[in-house]
This record gives sequence, C-alpha cells and structure tokens, in this order.
Amino acid sequence: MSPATSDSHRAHPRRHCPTTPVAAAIVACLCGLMALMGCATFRVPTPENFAKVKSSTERLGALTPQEDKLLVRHFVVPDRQPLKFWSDTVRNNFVEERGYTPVSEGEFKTDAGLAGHRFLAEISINSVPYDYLMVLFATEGSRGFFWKRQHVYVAEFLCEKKNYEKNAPAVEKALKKFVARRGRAVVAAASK
Amino acid sequence: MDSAERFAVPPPSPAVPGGGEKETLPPPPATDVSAKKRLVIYTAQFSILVGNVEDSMKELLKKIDQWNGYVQTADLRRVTFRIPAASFDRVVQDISQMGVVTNKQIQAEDVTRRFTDLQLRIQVAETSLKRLMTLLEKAQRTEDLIKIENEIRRLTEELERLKAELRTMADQIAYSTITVDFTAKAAEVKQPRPRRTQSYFTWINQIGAENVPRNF
Repeated sequence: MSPATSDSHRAHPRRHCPTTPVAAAIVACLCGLMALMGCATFRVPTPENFAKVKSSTERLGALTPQEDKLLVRHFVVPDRQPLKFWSDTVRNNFVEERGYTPVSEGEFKTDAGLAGHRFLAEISINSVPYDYLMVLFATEGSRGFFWKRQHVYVAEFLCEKKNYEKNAPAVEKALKKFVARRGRAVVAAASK
Repeated sequence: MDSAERFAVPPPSPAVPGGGEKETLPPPPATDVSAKKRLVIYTAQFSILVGNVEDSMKELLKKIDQWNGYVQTADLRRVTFRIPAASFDRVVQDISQMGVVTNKQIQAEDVTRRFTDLQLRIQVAETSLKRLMTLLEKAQRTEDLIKIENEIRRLTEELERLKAELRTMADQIAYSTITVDFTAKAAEVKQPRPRRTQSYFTWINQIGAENVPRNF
C-alpha cells in the first residue's frame, strides 16, 4: 500500500556486525593464551623404573618402587642471574644454612646442550642416611616487558643412601633429555 | 710366660681338623703337671666395626691361611676359625688392628687337672682291661666267661669314650678358637642444622631435601 511499506521490505543494507572479527580475535587470543598456559613449562621423560605420580605445567613428581622421590619444578625468578650465581647461592644455602654434606658437584649438560649444575649431598633424616641429588637449569627470560625475568628449573632426587646407586643412573639419564620450554636456553659452553 | 710354653700337648693332627677319628691317642703325658706346665684352652670373641664387611671378611680369610688355621663356620659377617695355640697372642693382636673393636672377650680355661684325671682313668681302665683279658683266658665256667666278657665290653666302651674325650681336649688345647663378628660402620652424616635465616630468594626456600616429600 504505502511505498513506505514496500520500502520496509527493501533489503536493508546488511548490518555489519563490528564485533565478529574482534570477538574472533579475542577468542583466538584466549585460546592461544590457554594453550600456552596449558603447555608444560618443561619436558622430561619419566625415568626408567619410576612411576609418574604428579604432573602439571610447573612440576613433575615420580616415585620408585622404594618410594624414592624425583621432583622437577619450574620457578619464575624476578632477577636474572647467570647459572653460576644460582648454583653458588643454592650450595651456600644447603651447606652453610642447612648442614648438608656435599659429595660432588659439577656441570651437567643435557643432550640438547642446555647447561645445568649438578649437586650431590648426603643428609640424615630421622637418623637414616639419604642422598640428595639436585640438577639446576636456568634460562633467560623473554625480552621486553618480562625482560628481567628468568626461568629456573630444579630437578631433585631424594633417596635412601642404599638405593642411590640403583636408581640415580636412570634419573640422570632422564635429565639428559630435559627440555626447558620457557625462556631462551643458555647453551653449555662445550656445545657452542 | 711365652705362649709356646703354655701348651704342652701338640695338636693331634694339624693337617686334619677334628682328626679325632684316628685311633691313636694324643701323645701322652706331655702333661707333666709336676713340671708346672699348664694346659689351657684359649678362646676369643671379637666384634669389630669396619668400613666394608665384605673386604674385611676376605682379608681375614686370607690371614687365617697364613696363620695355618682353618675356618670352622662362616657366614656373611661372622667367622669362627681355629689357629695353632702358639699363634694365639699374635693373632689376637692382628685382629685387633682390623677395625674398631667394640667387644673383645678372651677366655682361658685351665684344664690341667681334667686332662690328668682323664689320662689316669684311661690308664686304670687299660690295666683293668688287661687283667680281665688274663682272667678270660683262665676262666673255665661258662657263667664266669659271660660275666667277664660283659665287663670287658663295658670297659672297652668306657675306654673309647675316655680316649675320645682326651683327644677332643688335646685338640682344644692345641688349637685356639676365635670368633670374629664384623659390623659396617654407619655412614657419618651431618644432621641438617635448623635454618638460621630464610633465603631472600624465596624459590630456594621451597627446594631441598626437606621440601621434596611435601610436594608428593
């Protein structure tokens, strides 16, 4: 009847939804962020004769049949320092503050060339002698806003002294396959 | 007193431990009590702390050979062995130097009188036996023959028992018995001291042997 009516049937220019690409971008970012958050911060195979009992993005826990414990953890450290600084700080804390008896200490290098520090000590827990093996890795933080951050990875193996010879080789073998997934790897000098 | 003089009775058969199966008696009356030779059985027990039990066992077994001794019983950490009594003092000294001696017992049992008594009883039994044999030859009546034969049998058995006892004693005098029990030294591990201060770096406070079990 009225032209207005017929006009009303005219196709409106299709209303462009301005939110669609933005929402898609946000969703994509969120998915990416979630994916990133969901990723483990490191990768290490479970040593032979160990059962994985704890596993998250930040840590891995595994036990032997004797319930000797392997714990690998990731820490974000605000101040970036060389690996030597951290290994000296940790050794000083263990030996001077906690009374650990150092047995051996030295460089540890993964198969991929990531430099680490290996520290073996004896301690006594409830009068039972234990061996404590720690391997420390440190990667440099991302550039930019988090420039100063650093990622530290600590692998700790605690077992009764009598079990050390039996289970430590598998731990060291697994740690050779360790891969840090945060920060830029500081490659061992020998592999350069 | 020189250790060699303590023992008047030589071993019955050093090459054959427990050579008591032989029918010969230990060489007789070296037990000259009047000459003040004392007959003594020496035994010793040691408990020793060592770094490595297996190595110490091997070392001791080698030494036992060198001392002309022999092992009586042995397990993973304990060995009982016998050595010529004349070497007893030297062996005791050597063993004492194998580690930290936590227990040491030495017994000396004077068996001079028992030994002499045994010899006398054997002599008496032998004399009686000879006399019975003479009687047996002369006996005419069957009843007497049976009685004498029974007495001879009883006396022969008694004589054998006494001789066996004498041989055992002579062997114990000639060879001293020593038992050594090894124990591994516990690893000397320092007790972790309580932390004086927390580290400024908080992540360091979260690592360490004390914190590992808490994360499981």
